[in-house]
Amino acid sequence: MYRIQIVGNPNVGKSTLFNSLTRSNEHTGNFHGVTVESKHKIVKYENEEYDFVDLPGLYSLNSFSFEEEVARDEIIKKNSFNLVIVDANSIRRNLYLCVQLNELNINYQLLINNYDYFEKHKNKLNLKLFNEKFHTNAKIINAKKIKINKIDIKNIINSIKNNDFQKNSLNSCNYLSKYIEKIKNKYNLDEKTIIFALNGIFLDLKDEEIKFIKSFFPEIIRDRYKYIDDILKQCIEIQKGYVYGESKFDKVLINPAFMSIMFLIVFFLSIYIIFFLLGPFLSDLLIGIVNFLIVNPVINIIYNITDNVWVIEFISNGVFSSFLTVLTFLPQVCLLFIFLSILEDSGIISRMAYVFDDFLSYFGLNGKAVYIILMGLGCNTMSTVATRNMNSKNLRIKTAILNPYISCMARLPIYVIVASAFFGAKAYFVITGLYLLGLVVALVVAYILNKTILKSKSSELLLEFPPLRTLDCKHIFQVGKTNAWDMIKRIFGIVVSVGIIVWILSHTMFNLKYTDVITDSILFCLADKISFIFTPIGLNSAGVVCGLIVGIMAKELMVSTFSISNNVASTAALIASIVSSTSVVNFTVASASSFLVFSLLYCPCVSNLAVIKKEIGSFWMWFSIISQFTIAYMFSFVVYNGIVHGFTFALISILIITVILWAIIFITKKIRKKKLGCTFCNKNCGKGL
Amino acid sequence: MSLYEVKLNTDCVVKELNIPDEKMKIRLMELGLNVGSVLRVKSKSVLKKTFLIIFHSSCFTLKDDVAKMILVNYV
Repeated sequence: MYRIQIVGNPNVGKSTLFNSLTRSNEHTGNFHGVTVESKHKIVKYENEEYDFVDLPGLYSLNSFSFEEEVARDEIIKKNSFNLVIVDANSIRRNLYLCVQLNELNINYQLLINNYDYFEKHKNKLNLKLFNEKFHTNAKIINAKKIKINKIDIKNIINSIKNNDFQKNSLNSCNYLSKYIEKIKNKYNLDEKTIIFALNGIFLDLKDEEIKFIKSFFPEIIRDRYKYIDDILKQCIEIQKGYVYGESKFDKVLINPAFMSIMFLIVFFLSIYIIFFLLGPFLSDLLIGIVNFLIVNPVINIIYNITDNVWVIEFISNGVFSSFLTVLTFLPQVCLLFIFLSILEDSGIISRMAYVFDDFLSYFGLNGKAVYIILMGLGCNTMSTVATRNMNSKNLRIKTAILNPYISCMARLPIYVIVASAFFGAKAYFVITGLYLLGLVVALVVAYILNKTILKSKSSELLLEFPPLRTLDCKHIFQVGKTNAWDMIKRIFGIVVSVGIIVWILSHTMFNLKYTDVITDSILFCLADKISFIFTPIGLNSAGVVCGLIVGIMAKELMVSTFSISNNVASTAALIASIVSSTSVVNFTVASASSFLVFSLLYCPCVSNLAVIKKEIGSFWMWFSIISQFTIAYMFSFVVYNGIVHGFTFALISILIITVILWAIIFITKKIRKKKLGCTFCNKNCGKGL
Repeated sequence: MSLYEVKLNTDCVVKELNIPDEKMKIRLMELGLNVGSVLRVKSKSVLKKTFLIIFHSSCFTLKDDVAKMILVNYV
């Protein structure tokens, strides 16, 4: 099997090429750093297997962020065939990476993408001359349309293997010799180690040696660009004043006032369309079809086969209620992802990152956090992985910690059901308020972390502007389809399986006999034992406690737990049942409000916790759990008691909570300083604290 | 003269790259910005903390503490 890596600068079309060659639907976007981890797919073509790998983008082998480091480490292993893709519009900068690969004698096939756009703006490239001068066999491609049979993959592999075109490229890098000589004169290092070090890859070198080699970096960068410029001036013609990425709409789009107003309008309008206008209509349509085609026929068959109450109850409530109540929200989730995809594909996110950078810098973040926040509206787990895009450790930790406060799509079903049940026509304002509360709390948490244990420098936003693109309906449809499929897999995986366990535990007594009195079941008896913890925030009902515990596994399980415990199998029935005084969740307006706030803030789901642990370590995972639970408890306490006892009580509570919060920050700061040292270098240098 | 004082959409020449953060300086050079590069300030954010600059036919954002270190001359 051949391993083929797709390598290149950020946002040149690597994932698009990967999708075209492997017929995959990996996430792509018109934004710097969409791919943050390697993605694989094995493709069989003409009796050979090819393992295609989509690497994160990198400008240089001298890595600047974690994602670049991931890509760099894969490239230098030299166990793969590399397809290096460059954008014709920024070929000068893109070739810098190719020159570094030449220096390290890493073979690759060069592919030039986006040539149509380049040519459309009256720019020209003499490909034959370019190939001759750069000792390569570059091909012009359209990453969107290319297929595996069109690029003649076998021929490419043979030419990379035989080093046909690059055999002279290393000799062309003759500027290297003077640096090698200077370094050899001072330190006893072999040539390979020196060349690697001149590219920012330090193989077992001492600090003193690294410092000496790094002193040549500015000079060698100039030499590399001189080499590129000498070639390009012979074979490329670029129109004077041509700027890739610039758009006539930028005058308006990068205006902070316009962008802020537009963002708020689009945000509120999208919530209204997704959750209250188009979403419910599509949900009703979907559930009608599913009931007609699957649920009703299956239940009829079960009734004809058996009259056993346990079996009938298990199928209709244990399986179908958890399945249907979550499936209802499939259209809303797809619409939300499509909305995010439109922002990503159009190139607007980079503009937003620029416009909101000043605002976010107050909270110790930078403009790139906009992307993490927007992605978090879809899935917090995915956006935690995307924090790799941040190029400092502290910034990355801060963004990963604030990320679970952003309300993800899994929390949406519970908002819609509880808000519709208790707030009727005002549900829209309640849901919008919850989204805004999540955002405000996330920013406040980031601010506090920045002022205490996670200080970071402000000079970290270095972002390339992509051109604005018209929307590709086919791609948007694909995004909707992919996310619908992902959610269906999730429903049939975790939602139905946990739903079945919840149903069994909520219909079985400690003597292992079946019961239809929920309050006698194992689950409710256990939940009842710990419900006293939630009494001060009005959530002392065992039914609610069950929902909160199960919700830690996956937030959409809260709604399926409620539907199972209330013995209902549709959203409308669940809304009607939870307002009833006989409901096991036993909500009032005050406790429902407290529950909504607690559900928004209380704890990341298990998959997000696993990713937080993997990305930033177990200390921060526990920090996230404890801090989120504490903050959720405090907010819910204020909301519940504010509604029950009035405004003065809420105000006093806020004051007390603020004092407690500062005490916690102070203690955490002291502990971290003592145990972990500086967050920059893990020593007590005092810089990071 | 720093980028703060440069008029928008005026071509400037980078006179020196006096950036104390060595990693950032190297990254900017790897992106093609160097002494002698022609640079244009496309936009300044409200608080002038972030700039949108154009060099070598590409648009990049740049933070103030880096930008103020790039001394420029009008062409």
